[in-house]
Amino acid sequence: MALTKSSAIACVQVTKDYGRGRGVFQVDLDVRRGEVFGFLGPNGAGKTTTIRLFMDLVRPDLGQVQVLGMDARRDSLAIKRRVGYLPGELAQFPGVTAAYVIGLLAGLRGGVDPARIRLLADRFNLDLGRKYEELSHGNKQKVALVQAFMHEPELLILDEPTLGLDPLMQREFRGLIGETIKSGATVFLSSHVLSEVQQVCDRVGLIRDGRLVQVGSLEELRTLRSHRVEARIERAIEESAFRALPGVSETVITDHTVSCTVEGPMAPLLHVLDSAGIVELDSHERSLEEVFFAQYGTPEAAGAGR
Amino acid sequence: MRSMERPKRLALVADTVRANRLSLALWAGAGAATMYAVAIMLVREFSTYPGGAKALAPTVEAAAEALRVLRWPAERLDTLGGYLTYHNILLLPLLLGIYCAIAGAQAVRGAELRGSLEGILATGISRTALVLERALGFLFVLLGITVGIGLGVAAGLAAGGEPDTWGALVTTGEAALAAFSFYTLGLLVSQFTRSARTAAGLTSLVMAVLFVFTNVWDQAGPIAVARFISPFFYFQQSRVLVPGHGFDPVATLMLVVLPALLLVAATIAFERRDYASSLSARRARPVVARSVLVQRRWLRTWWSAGLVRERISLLAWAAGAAAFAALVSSLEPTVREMWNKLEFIQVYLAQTPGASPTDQYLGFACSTMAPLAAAYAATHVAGWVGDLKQGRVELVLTSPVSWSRLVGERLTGLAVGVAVVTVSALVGLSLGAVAVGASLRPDGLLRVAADSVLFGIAIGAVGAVLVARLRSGLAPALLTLFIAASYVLDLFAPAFSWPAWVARLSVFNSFGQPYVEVPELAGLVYLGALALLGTILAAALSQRSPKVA
Repeated sequence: MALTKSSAIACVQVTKDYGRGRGVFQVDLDVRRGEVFGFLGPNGAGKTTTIRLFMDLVRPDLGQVQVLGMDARRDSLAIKRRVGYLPGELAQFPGVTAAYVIGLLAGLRGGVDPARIRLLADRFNLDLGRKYEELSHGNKQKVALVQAFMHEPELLILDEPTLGLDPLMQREFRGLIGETIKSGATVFLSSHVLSEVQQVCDRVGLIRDGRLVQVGSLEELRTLRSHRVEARIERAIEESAFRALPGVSETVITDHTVSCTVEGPMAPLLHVLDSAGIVELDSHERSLEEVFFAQYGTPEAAGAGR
Repeated sequence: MRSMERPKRLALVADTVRANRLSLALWAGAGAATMYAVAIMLVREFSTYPGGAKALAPTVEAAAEALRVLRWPAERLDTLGGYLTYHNILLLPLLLGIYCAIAGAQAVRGAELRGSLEGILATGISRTALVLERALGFLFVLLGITVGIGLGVAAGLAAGGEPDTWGALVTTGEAALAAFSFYTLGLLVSQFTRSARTAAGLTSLVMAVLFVFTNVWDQAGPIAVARFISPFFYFQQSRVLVPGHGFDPVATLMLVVLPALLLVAATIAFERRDYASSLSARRARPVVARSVLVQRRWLRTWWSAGLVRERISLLAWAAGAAAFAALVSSLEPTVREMWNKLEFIQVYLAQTPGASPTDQYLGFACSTMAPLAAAYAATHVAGWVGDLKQGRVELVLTSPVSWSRLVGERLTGLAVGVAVVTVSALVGLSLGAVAVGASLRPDGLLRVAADSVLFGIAIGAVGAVLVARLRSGLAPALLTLFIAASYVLDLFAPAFSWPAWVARLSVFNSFGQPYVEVPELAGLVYLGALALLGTILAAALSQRSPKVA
């Protein structure tokens, strides 16, 4: 894979090895401009390390990282001027107000439109006059979100952005992401909650044990799509009747109930079920979460990544 | 269902010892070495002084009387035990007390504000047990320090021909008990304050007042009775190493009773208040929609934002330095009078032509600016590690701010802080001097201010290199060691007739006597080189490996 200037973020064979299997290894990634890219992985998979590599907060042992067409290391200051970043761990600021925290970060950027800060604070229902240390985790997360969005960056890199937000604020956040994309920006967000990514992202990448195991659009990933079918039938039916059916797996038959997973055309399955007399039929598409876990197994990456 | 298990007993005692193991090692090691070296130095002084210890003692006693607010009492200075008690041991509970005050304030409130206490309380341990286990753990830490320093004192006494190992251990043990009172006081005060730092500052202030008061209580008239609440008073009552005094069991008992009472009070206060809220916290006010000014001029740089954030602490430093300097300079007539009576001091003073005795005394007062600046710089360096550990560095570096700029801004903030503290101290010194009619040298004051700022930046630059390389709590600990070693080197080099270049390695030696004369060029070059090269090296090290976690 080659680096392309047109990408919002591009990595080639990036490795950061902390030893004993911890770190990220040979990561190739291309985040296109104008998209919302979801970066998924269980705890400790290497999401935060990868993000810190983009921000020049850690340096790769091998490989290259480009952000907005610039070298992440050489041009880090120019990059940071155009990027909004939300760290995975909330900083502590004892003895000062939320306004101080926002004001400091705005000041270090050379000033930000005050109306934009007010708008974001109102939108997230955040009282900037309160002491930062007295805020709840969710409210501190709002402070972090305000500082990430306040200078209307071209690229947003958000590490677990909805952590601690209530459902209403999560909806507000998704709305803000939508508006940001409409204005031409790019969003890279990490999460370990697949359903959240499913709601806002165009493409997703999955990292496990420090290695990028899958990248694709939601549609592409849905080539792995499947349905879970549950049916109540009139007459008993042998499991062997399902074995020969293409795309049917995980069949469970109990009394007059059949449940199975179907990838591809549904007709052969319906034909068999119909021959046994369908009383009730329920089918739903499996979520990305279920698809990923079926594909890659239950997360067990504790100790890997960072 | 599994039966509920009781939390592992005394786990917090072990955790407290583990958390303080580095400080324990530093205090015990550096304290023992200092005590031993000072004892050897005093033995040499006894042997080289014309007429020996018997002749030396009256002259030192006269000086000690003049400066009694700073250290008292001075008795049997003709013996190593008596002189060492006056010279070093009387200061031990004060110095150890500062460490204890900070540790006490942090023990509950600090952990609470860092968010690490909630999980511990959720294990089922009671608040009382938590406080008691933390205090017990810290007592073990003090025990280790006591043994280390005590053995240093014992080795020094043995080398001076007055062996008394048991006496040395009892003395340092009593010093540790006196200091432990300030651990428990810090613990109590922190139950009423919003932050652990405020509690540590208030406790240190109370401690300083008690220390000075205890030295002059017999001149305090009706408030002399207040001495009974001072741990320093009880410590002074039991001076095992001073011939003719010996062990005072009642005073020692009081050194146990005082911290016990404070511990009980702290426990009651902790039991009565809400978690993460001080006992004095006001009830929540009704929410009023308000317009908050977010972007301010002083928030545009990290250094100015930091100074505003730490303004209370800076004010406390400035006020404390001013009060101390005013106190020292106001003693000028008393000291000058005493000097006039001592022939050898006249000979010594004549070695600096062009400087009157008043100049020389005020020069001595101004020389305290160096340790003051060093202590201030050390707390700043500890703050830099805190910035890193608490995620502030990561957040700042995601703005268009480079590591080099951050290092530069940190040192700028430190330089401004040192300037504020120094100028405050010099104002205090001037007021004290004017009040007693002592004349001041404006050129001297300017030199002191400039030299102190350079000195502070030099120390800060060394700290910046350590922080850039280590990025852990080890950095301020090593910086403190560097400062202490430098101070001791400056003290010992002339006493042991070490070569001049060895003495010049000490930053305190390079500071010189700026009030009475322009410091030596070599010293200024050394401080300047430390400041400049340290800054460049710190920036390079930070930039080369910019890890934030």
